[in-house]
Amino acid sequence: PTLKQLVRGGIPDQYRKQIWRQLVYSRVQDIITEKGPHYYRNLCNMLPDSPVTRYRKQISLDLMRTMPSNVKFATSGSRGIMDLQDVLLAFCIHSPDIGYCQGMNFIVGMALLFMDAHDAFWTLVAVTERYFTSNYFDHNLVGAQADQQVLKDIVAEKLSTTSKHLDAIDIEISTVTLNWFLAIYFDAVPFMVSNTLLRIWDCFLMEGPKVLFRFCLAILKMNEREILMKNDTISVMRHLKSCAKITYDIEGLIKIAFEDLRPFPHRQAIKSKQAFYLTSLKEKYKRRELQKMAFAEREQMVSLNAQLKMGSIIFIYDFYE
Amino acid sequence: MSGKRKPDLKVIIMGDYAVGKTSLVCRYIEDKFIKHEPTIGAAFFLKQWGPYNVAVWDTAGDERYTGLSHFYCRNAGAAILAYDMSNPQTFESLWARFMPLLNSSTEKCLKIVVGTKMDLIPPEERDITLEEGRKLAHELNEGLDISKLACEPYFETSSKDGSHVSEVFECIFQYCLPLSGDQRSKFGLSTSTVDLYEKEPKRATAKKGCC
Repeated sequence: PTLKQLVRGGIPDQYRKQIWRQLVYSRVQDIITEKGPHYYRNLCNMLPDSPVTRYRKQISLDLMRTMPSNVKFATSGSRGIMDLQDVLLAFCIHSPDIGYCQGMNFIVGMALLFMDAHDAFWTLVAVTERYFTSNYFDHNLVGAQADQQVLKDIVAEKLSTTSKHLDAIDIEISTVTLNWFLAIYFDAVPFMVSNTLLRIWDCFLMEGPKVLFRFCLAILKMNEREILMKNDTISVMRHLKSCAKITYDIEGLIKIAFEDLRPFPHRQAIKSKQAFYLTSLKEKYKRRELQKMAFAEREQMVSLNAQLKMGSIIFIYDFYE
Repeated sequence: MSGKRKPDLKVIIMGDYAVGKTSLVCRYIEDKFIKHEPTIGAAFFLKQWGPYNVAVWDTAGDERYTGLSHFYCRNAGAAILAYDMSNPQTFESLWARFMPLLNSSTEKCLKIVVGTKMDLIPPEERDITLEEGRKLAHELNEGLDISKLACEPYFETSSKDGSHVSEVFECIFQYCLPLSGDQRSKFGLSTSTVDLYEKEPKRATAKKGCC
């Protein structure tokens, strides 16, 4: 069997740490070569006087609520919390354009369960720059939004009855699935009882974001019957939210994701769809940005006019004084 | 579940990150206070109000998720705009960030401003006064007839000790989906309408110093 198939079968627990590391480093090797082996440590040394304050506050608010039930992250002085903070702040210096976005805390938290801070940093870099495109976590999350539109197309193609049903009862699937993609299924599928989350991460790190679509469709397919049986928005929404949380049958999920859903859209087809939606989203935000600027300019003119008037009144007043 | 296809009312909660949006909903729906993970995207809750189904959408605070909020704002009957009473910046955000969103999508949407974490700030240290809060709340509802609203569109709450939390939701529900006194008692809801804020808010709960 190929390595891909082996990983789909689940990385044995004792090798997970080592294999995750290797998969991550294989994606970012060129960046490490360019930045040097001590890059992460250097970034950490820059932390005390770097202008990342904008994100510092938000990060500190999220630290204690990333994995509150895990002992490693339970107390504010704990190693896990300190590492989480360092990695997220270092990333803001590394990539000031992206900075911190809620969701990254979960990705780093997951990485820290298996790796040290240094590796966790490179995992975040790999996820944001190599696995995903760098606009995935940008200021409008255009990459993530484009993927949700691609997802809708794939659902319409592969699970057309479900897709029509959701449309009919006015459910926008991305209100549920966006999180699944952005946090790579963290808090969406079971972690403790079955290894569902870890198995998804195994496949993600090995094969890249296409598996996120596969798993999403597999979860929907597993629940297709129940979804179609329900005819009101609320019960379907409820079901969608809760069904992923009880996906304990990981072998069943893997089988649906990689076998039953065949033929799955090709990587290239997904890529060209992504590019198409990305362009239209970017245009939308550009238009919006221009509108905003025009509005701000008008506001400024109005206030300037008001000031001028005030000025002339004061001037007249001074004159009469 | 009734045979209805859509919820009778959709309420959305917006506000800066970590102001306690999820805690507010959870205090109301589950009557529990727990620290929550940051909400990414949005979370969905359901509440029964007499014969009606109410969907409560809890949105992400991170600014980047703002672009997605049109999904959640669509057809919302009411919006809770939450700010952290111990952090005045979060009050400013209600104007700067969230008003534009609501303006474009839902003119008839009732807007309720809610201060959170009242337990964290002694009355004499607060930056946003009750009057400022109410003023903003009224401005936000300009063009909407809120004379039937049984309370001020402004609340100060603590999800930790539960003060004024259910009042927020019941005030909204009663306005959007009015229930008669008979109906209220039939469904086991308190029969008095909420008017705590008609009088000056009681400050008895905000003890100073240690107990």
